[in-house]
Amino acid sequence: MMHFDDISDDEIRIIGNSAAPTSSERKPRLYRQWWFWVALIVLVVVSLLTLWSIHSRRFLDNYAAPKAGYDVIEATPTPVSPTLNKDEPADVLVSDTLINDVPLQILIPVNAVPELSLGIPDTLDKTLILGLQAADIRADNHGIVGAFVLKGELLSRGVAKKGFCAILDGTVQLGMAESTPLFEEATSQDGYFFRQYPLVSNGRMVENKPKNKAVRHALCELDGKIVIISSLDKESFHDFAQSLADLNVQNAISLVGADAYGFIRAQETGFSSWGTDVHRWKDAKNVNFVIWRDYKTE
Amino acid sequence: MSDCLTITNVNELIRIPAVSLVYVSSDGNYSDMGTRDGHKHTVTVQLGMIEVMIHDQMPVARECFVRIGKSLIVNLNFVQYINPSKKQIILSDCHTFKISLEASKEALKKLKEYVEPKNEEQ
Repeated sequence: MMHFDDISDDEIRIIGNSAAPTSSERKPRLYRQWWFWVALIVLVVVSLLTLWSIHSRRFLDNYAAPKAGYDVIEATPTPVSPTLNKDEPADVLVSDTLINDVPLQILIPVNAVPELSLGIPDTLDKTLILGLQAADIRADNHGIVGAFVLKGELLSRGVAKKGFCAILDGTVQLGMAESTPLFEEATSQDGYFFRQYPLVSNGRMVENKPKNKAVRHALCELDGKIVIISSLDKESFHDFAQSLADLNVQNAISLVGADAYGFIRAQETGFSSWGTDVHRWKDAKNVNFVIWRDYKTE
Repeated sequence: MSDCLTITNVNELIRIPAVSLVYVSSDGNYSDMGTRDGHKHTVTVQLGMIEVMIHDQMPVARECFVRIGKSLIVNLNFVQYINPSKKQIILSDCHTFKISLEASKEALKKLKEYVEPKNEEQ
């Protein structure tokens, strides 16, 4: 049927041909062309999908990690000194716990003073009661990742990871910051300093980019003590950090995980180690450890 | 060309042979039909409806009628002069009448292209 009003002032129409007007005589208006409606529907659907995607991503981010991210407040770290009792021997107290279905092992060194060491530690030295790999080593040039100070000597620079541990006169300070005066203090006071992934800052978990699962180790401030907490199973950074925060850990940074080497010399169980035996490594000059030494042998 | 356009209402009937209908112009709900004798018939029918009537009632002659924009229908047999830039179209039989009407530049340009002789390319 002919639509006798669908003509603009700039068009002409041969009435005899009006049943089948040619394109030159009669151009259908945009909204009467089928492709216009198809394009409009596609546009609306794509817009709705995009909005839904953005909205759901924001929701999931907020839901999954309400306290996560580097917006965690950075504060001055609390110095934690080791508890020393000269009437008792150096020891490592071991306890297990389960937080959020994450099995954890807590190692509490007592009557021992922490420090960093470079190279493979002498595990035959009975004054060493606990040791775990501290700063990461680059796979390409085997250099230490991030700033590293060994007894006042600066061995590596950089802020690859925001978490840090400073050891000054046996007092440990854990924190999260891109720059901290503790780094300068470590270099000027024969102290120790290294960087790692932050896990907990001021009691709140910190999100990190790596998403893989592995056995995790952390250097933690818990109930006024510096302790090592390890996951007994392979865990993501997120789950591990969240379990530490739920355990009321105040501050924590990661240590080298997965098959990293570590050892313990406890009064009850004697010497034991885990991970890859670093003594077989060909190039271990930059392998570094945080170790606890019997304070009476200092 | 024996087609006729017949328009009726309660009071009257108007019957115009296709050969005598020169143009139909719109004036809102009214339409003015100009004929060769110089007469102008005003009817209470919208231009679009008259286009339908021409299409339905003049199966042979309807191809001589062209709708130009929203407000004009002309009989191509009387198109004597088209000037798109002046927006002017003159309808005449070169003998008894000459009527000048106005239309849009683009519409007249298209009408001019339609009316002008085509050179067949071999």
